[in-house]
Amino acid sequence: MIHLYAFARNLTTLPAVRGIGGGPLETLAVEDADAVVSRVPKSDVSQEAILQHGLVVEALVDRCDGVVPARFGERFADDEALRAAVERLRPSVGERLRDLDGCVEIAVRVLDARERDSPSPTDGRGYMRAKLGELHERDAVAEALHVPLEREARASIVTPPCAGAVVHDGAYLVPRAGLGTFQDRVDKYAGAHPELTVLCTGPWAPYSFAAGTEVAA
Amino acid sequence: MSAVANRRPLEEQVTLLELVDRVLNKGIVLSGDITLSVAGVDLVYVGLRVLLASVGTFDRLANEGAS
Repeated sequence: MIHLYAFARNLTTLPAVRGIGGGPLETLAVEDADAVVSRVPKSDVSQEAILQHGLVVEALVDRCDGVVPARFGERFADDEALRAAVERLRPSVGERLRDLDGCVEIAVRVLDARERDSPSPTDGRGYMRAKLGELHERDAVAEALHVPLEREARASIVTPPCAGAVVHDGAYLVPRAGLGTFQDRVDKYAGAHPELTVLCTGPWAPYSFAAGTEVAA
Repeated sequence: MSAVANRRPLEEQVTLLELVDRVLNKGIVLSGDITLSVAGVDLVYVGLRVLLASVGTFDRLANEGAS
């Protein structure tokens, strides 16, 4: 079985990293890109396999002009099965690579621990007041943080926080040349809001935008 | 604000969470054959555990960051 890590455009050399289970990385030419794969004996969903997948993808970023990362678990019986799946893809791999050209992904989450301290409301009015407070806080974060960050990004995706202390969960597709300015904007917001925890990670391979920026936007 | 020495583990934990979130939940999906749907069953299970861990972990991290 072959495990797919990513598609890469103008890959110079394969990184020295091994594939899941220790097998060597290989490239398979598809359209005008390389599929980076390795042979695996069986389905392996261990934590080690998940981390190895991430390691391979990140090692590719600096060795090519563009990467479309694959979600963990894309496995194919043989080269032909992978090629056939690639041919069915819309937008095509080439179109997605062009969308992501020269860009990396930055993740920005904002956490507010203060909400955790407030007692849970027991009546309807208290519940609605608490919910409104959360919504207002999210609007404020969107205005003061997301809007300036969005201006520095080619595309962005904000995931509505599902629960807990997370008040903002954003992924930003940022041109490499704009990384410094982007980081400055994040630092400025974090400096102005010591009561919040701002978690900024990256640069990542553009996982969140692998569907193409048309779809993402 | 916590001591500088306490910040590194926080950042490492967050980076690991973000990586696992990306590898399991994002990225291009080609799908469409039996091999994959077999893998998919396992992945839903693994992904769910990670998601649950993430929500709790972010709450804990927020409290650590604010203390």
